[in-house]
Amino acid sequence: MTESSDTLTQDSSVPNVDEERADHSDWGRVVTTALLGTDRRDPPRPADGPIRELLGDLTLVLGDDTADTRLLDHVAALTLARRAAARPLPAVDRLAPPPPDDRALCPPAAVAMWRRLVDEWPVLEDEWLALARSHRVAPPGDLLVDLLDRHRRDDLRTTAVAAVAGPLVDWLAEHVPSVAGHVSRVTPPTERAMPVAAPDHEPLPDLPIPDDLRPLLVADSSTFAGSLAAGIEAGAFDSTHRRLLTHLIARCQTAVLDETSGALGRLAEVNALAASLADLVNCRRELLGSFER
Amino acid sequence: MAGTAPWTVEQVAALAPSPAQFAAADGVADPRRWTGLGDDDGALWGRYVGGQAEPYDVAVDVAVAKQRDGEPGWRCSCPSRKTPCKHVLGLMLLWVRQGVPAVARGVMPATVQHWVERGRAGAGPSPDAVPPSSPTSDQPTEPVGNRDAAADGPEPSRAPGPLPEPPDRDERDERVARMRAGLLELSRWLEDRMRTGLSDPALARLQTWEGLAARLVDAQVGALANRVRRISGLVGAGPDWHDALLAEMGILHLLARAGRHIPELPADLGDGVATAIGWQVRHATVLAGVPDTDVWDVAGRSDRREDRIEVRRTWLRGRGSGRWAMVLSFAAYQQSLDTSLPVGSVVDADLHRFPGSGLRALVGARRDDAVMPHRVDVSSVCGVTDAAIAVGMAVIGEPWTEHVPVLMRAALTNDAGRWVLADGDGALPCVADDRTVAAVLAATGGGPTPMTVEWTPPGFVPLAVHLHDRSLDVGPRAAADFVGVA
Repeated sequence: MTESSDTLTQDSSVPNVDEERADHSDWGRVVTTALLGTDRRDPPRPADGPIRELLGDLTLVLGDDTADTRLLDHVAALTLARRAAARPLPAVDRLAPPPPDDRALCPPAAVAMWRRLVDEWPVLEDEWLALARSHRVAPPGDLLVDLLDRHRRDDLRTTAVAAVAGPLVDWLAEHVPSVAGHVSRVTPPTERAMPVAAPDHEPLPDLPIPDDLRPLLVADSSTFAGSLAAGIEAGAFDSTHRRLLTHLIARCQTAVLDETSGALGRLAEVNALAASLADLVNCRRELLGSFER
Repeated sequence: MAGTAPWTVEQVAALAPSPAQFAAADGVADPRRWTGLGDDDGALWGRYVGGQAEPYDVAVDVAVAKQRDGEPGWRCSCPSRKTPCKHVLGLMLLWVRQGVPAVARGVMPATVQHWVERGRAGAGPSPDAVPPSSPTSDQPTEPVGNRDAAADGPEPSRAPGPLPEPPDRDERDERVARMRAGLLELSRWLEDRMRTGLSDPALARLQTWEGLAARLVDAQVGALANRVRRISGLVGAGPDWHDALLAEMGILHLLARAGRHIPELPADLGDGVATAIGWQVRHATVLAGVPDTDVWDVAGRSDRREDRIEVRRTWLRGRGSGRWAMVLSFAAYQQSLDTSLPVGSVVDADLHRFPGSGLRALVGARRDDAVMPHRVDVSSVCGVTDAAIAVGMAVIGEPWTEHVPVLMRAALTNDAGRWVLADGDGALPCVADDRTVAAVLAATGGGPTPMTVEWTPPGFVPLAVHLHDRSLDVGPRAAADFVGVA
């Protein structure tokens, strides 16, 4: 059958890729017979052409003399012809382009960082979105779709995603409403306009942090790192405080991260909480650097 | 043959690395193509004069098989990487058919005699006498290569030295018989479907399909069983489900028939059929083959659930050769898929291809880690018309194929409510899900862009968009709650 296939591609009677618009006379008769069954209808005689010759050869060589086998041979030959010799549909106009966007795409490191945050430290996602706005970068298509999907049920973050996505999101909602349609329902139009550069230290959404720890949010490096390390060493902070300390590190000043990384790193070998928090600190440091080109 | 137990054709067939190789050997076993044939108590030799410039010297030591769980020693001066090669198998077939004359002692050529003596000396005691912890029983399951460093000269040889895992011949014979029976049963089942028609309500019952799939699994044609299960999902899946189902039944018919005629097919086609019906090829055997060395762009990826397994296809394209290769990864529930080949990376590696003309390959030696971000080389990107031609050629080569990669430049657009990939010459149907469509639109703004797309019978699926500074992975992705790492 393989040798004959070359000639099949030259056969102008072979249908288009567009199966609905194509001439299916031969295939259509085969389908009708297969629907009814050979008990009720004899297989159709192949139309003149290479397929008929091929089926004739098969009968000679293999002795296919039952109606069922002949029908299956015919089906197989037509299927291969339809797949191997499919011709493109007529050309189609392009979609009207989305509104122009002069922003650069997020650096690949920032894209990879978002995927890491989702898996490991989702508490840093708000900061990622804020950084994307302050650096005035656009998420690449695959990331935008993931962002929209991830925050579909979170109006606050959907609004933040829309602010990063810019006017593209309305255009996308028009064409694929199942993916982006929800954005226009929860986001004011002003948030979907062309993004302008956001301030460097845009306020991030609040996270639950106890009042007695809040002073640490504005503490200097040595105070912040020392308090955290001392609390862990003394047992004042244990695994039950993990969530609160995570919030604290996610919202502390960026200037304290280096020293805190060192302090927690020294405890990491003997203390699982310190090891985990050190990883968060380091992840946040990398996040800050991931938007730099 | 004096002193050596008679062999059967089936035993020789069981030694063949693939059915196609055995079929090729049958053509070689023509006494008119041999000179200097001889049989000295199970040591066979001869010179094969085929179409090549130089004849091949072939030797087989059948007598040593008794000491090696039934596997003889062999060597051949041909360059084939298959072991045993068709000349070795052909000489054995000729011998089985009484076509190799017994000769008196002392007639054996000196080089053959030397080789036989070394092989018999190194074969060790019979398996019954080998303690479980002996080095012989600890040999790896597959030879690392088919060139034995202990052999005389550069020719491929299997005589002296360590042996691979001995094949269980009875088991292999039994398996071949089971596969043939399974293929025959599939043919009968398909004929019954044609007789009663696709409107038969039995087609809508899961048991109709599951029963067949289970019997195909029993017959060790698992790939066909998977195909049957996939096809069963077409029943009632859309208004034109009869069309799609009938087409897939046609392909099943083709495979069921071709699988029963593998020895009559050209070698590559036969190997491809054998793989498509479920003939397992050990990874060690594939890795022992000649590598396809290149710098490979990781050009696309697609995940699909097949029965209860998630299958990841990663498409690689050689920068030097332009050849495609496909690396598969499998994950059951909560297992992890391979993430070592991220889309948009480039790897300098040896690929080892499976038998046949299919694209499946294993990654062998890597000379560096995957480098990314990176942009896939799109210098040879084609348009819509050439993409259709490329798919056609691939289908002609492997009519049962369900996935063909193409690197093309096109714009994703909408034609009366359905998505197509278009350029100025034409359009191809796009059957991607909404997520992929949205990702491509967001990445391209609907403009013409180089993409890796995967042809499947219903249409084309975009897998990657290649922008000026990076490639975006937009292919179908395994559900995160099914696989551990997707």
